[in-house]
Amino acid sequence: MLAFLAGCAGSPAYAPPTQVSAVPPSRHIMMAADPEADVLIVADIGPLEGGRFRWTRKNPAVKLELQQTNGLKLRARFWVAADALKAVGPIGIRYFINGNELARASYSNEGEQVFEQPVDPGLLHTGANEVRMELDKIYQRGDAQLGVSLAELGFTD
Amino acid sequence: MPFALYILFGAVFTIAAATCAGRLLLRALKVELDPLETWLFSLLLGASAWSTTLFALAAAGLVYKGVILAMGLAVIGLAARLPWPRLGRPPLWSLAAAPFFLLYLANAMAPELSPDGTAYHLGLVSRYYRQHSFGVFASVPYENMYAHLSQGMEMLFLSAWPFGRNSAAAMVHFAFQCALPCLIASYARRFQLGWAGSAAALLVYLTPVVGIDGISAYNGVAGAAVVFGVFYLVEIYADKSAANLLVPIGLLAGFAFAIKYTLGLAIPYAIVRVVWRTRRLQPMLIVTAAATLTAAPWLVKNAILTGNPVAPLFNAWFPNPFVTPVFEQDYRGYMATYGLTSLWSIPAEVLLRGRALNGFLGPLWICAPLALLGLRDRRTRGLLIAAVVFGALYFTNIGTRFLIPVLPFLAVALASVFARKPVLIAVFVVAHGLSSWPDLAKLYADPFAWRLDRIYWKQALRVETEDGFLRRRLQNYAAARLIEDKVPEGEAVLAFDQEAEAYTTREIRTWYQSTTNAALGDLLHAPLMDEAKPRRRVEFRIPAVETTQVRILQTAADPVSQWYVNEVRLFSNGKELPRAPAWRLTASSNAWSIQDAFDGDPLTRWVSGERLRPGMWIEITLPRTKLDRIVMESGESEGASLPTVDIEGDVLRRSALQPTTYTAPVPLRLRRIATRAIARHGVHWILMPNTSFGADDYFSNRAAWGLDYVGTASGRKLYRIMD
Repeated sequence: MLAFLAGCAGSPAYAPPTQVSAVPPSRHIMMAADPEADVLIVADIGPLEGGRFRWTRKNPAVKLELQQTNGLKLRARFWVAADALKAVGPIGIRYFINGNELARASYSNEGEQVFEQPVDPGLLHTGANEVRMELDKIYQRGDAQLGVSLAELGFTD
Repeated sequence: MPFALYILFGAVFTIAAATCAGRLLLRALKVELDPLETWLFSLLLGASAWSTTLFALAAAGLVYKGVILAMGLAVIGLAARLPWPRLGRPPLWSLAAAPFFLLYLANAMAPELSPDGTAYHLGLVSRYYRQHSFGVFASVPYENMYAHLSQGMEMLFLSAWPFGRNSAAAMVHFAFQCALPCLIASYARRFQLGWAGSAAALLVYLTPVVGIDGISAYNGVAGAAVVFGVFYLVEIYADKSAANLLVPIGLLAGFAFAIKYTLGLAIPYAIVRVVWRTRRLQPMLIVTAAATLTAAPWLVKNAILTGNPVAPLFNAWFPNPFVTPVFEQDYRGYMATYGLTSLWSIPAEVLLRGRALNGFLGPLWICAPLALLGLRDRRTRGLLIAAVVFGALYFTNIGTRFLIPVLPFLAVALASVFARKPVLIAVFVVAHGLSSWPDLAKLYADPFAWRLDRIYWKQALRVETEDGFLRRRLQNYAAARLIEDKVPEGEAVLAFDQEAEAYTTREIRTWYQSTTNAALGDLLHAPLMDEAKPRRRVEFRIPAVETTQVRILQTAADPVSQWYVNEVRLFSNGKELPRAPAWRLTASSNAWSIQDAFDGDPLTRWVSGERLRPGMWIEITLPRTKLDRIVMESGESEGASLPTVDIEGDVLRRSALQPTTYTAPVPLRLRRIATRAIARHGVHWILMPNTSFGADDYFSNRAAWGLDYVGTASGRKLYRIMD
């Protein structure tokens, strides 16, 4: 009986443990839905829509923080609208890192697109880095000039 | 001295000490039995006493070779002065059993190969011996749920292990394997069942799963002998009402529990039988008290070490840091099916195939239901009732060896039905023996069935080295030796499969064997699974309020999911509140891991350990603080979770707040974050099977993981986590 009683106890409570400081704040990629995203946006990226994307204009750019530069890939995830393709045809995008062109690609299908390409560490520096997309054309909807619906832009590993 | 002699010494010493302890006990209680019964019950009763003695030594930190030897010799010395009854000539049935005796003896003495024996039965025994105790005073508790099962048989192994290592322990079990048919035959002789006793003894002894279990460092056959011993004594008591049998009945019933939880049914069985016979309270109290002596130590040990007296079971009743209710449910679910798609395949697996359920009985056991023909006979009815009682929990674990305790009852009942047809019985037993012999059994059993395959004399006598034999025959042995060779003393290895712990002195932390180990294993999987990456955010924005308590409440229910929270962050005026030592964190379940949700590490996480249900909570108590935002971080697999918050202040209480959910960036270097978290838990080594989830990634991206590849053995790669 004593043994069984010894097993009965309430939930223990603890103080916070030693904090792990090795993990830096995640400012290496802009996620459209992240409330922190606004502080990373430099140009041509609009407000959050539908809870998951932001419309770009012609030259969307973000400023990202890196703690180290090895083994990274540039990643962009976005949607190409059917209306845009109908209006202006395939959209060409050039990707720049700190002003240096990394790659260019053309998108002729509507829907979700994911671009990923390894980045030469020589193009990067620890601290702030600017990532920019340059769209060769945008389309007009009402008063708005629209590029692509951006979900993510930045670095991954 | 040849090592075989050390093996024999370890086993003979232990069996002698146990038998002598039992003889002293029988003498002190003035129990009168016939000569063979005296020897057999001396062994069984003495085993309960000697096992409990070893328990006391382990609890007191006195498990030293010298202490065990001195105590054993003292017991043997005391008993040597008593008169010992002379045994007559060996019975005829023992001649028929001789080939199997040699098969079993050689296999028992050969290096231990059994999966559970090499993993935890002997892995734990060797550890107890190295640390001279259960580790009651160790700073790091056992992260191994098997350490919390009752270990009555392991205590006998612990007596033999210091002298003859693993094979000496297996030989102790082999002694019980020899005793069981003698006990059956002795029972039949006492109750004048004629040929039935010999036939039943052989039926059980020659059964393949009894053969391989009994020569292994397991506890199934010993448990069967003890349970049958309880029945045997109760039957004598029912006939004679000898009050001096009550203590032995209780001691043995408690010892059955000490050997295996499920055999604890012997305690209520004995109590009911005694009460049924006497209709008095006092005999019941005597049996209960005696059973408590041999059973209760295990409950007390578990209550102290884990907070759950019946660990690793009933964790919902006795929450503890070692095993969660969800794990227990999943584990029990597996044990109830062993992955079989239909329980209708049990008969074929149990009788013939022997692979899925680990062992087989032999085809002749299909006749077992014929024992029901004896229902009209009072004694046969008693045997069948006992078979039902001790088989009652079979469907909680359908492994073939969990039927072993039932076999003696069924065998005697079946043989009794045909007692007047000796020729038929003889033909039946011969057919059973032939079909059980390895060379014939291989014709019908699955090629991978758990069974004996030949007589290993050279290995028993160590003509072939133990190392050479084990490298040939034990699949995970080479990995254990690689660990022994490469991992420094005192270090632990995170493993993802059952390893041969008996062949290494390093601590193996198998991922499914404790809550903490599972969390460490999950850390290695999370960077490879998109749904586990910590990118889901659930955010509550509230008008600024001063508060002393935040409670995050779960409102969803899910029959499969648990509640996982990687981090909880509190904000005021856009800035995260630093976690202060004055904060107090707790949770409605598994509060022992709640700190993992407040450590700043995006991968470590609190897990509820229970299925998602409304009313679960996480609670933060803090000095009066202004607060306007609460963010919970988790993986996308948390989709079923629907939390809300209660905030306690002087005047304010809010509930049913609707959160915003969004996807946030996954931290870079997640692989390295994972291995650093594992290292923070004191584990710097990982043994990864080549077929495991992510095995290729760990190797090809080992730099990203921060892993140093050390070597490969037994289809497993050993890595060291780099500093």
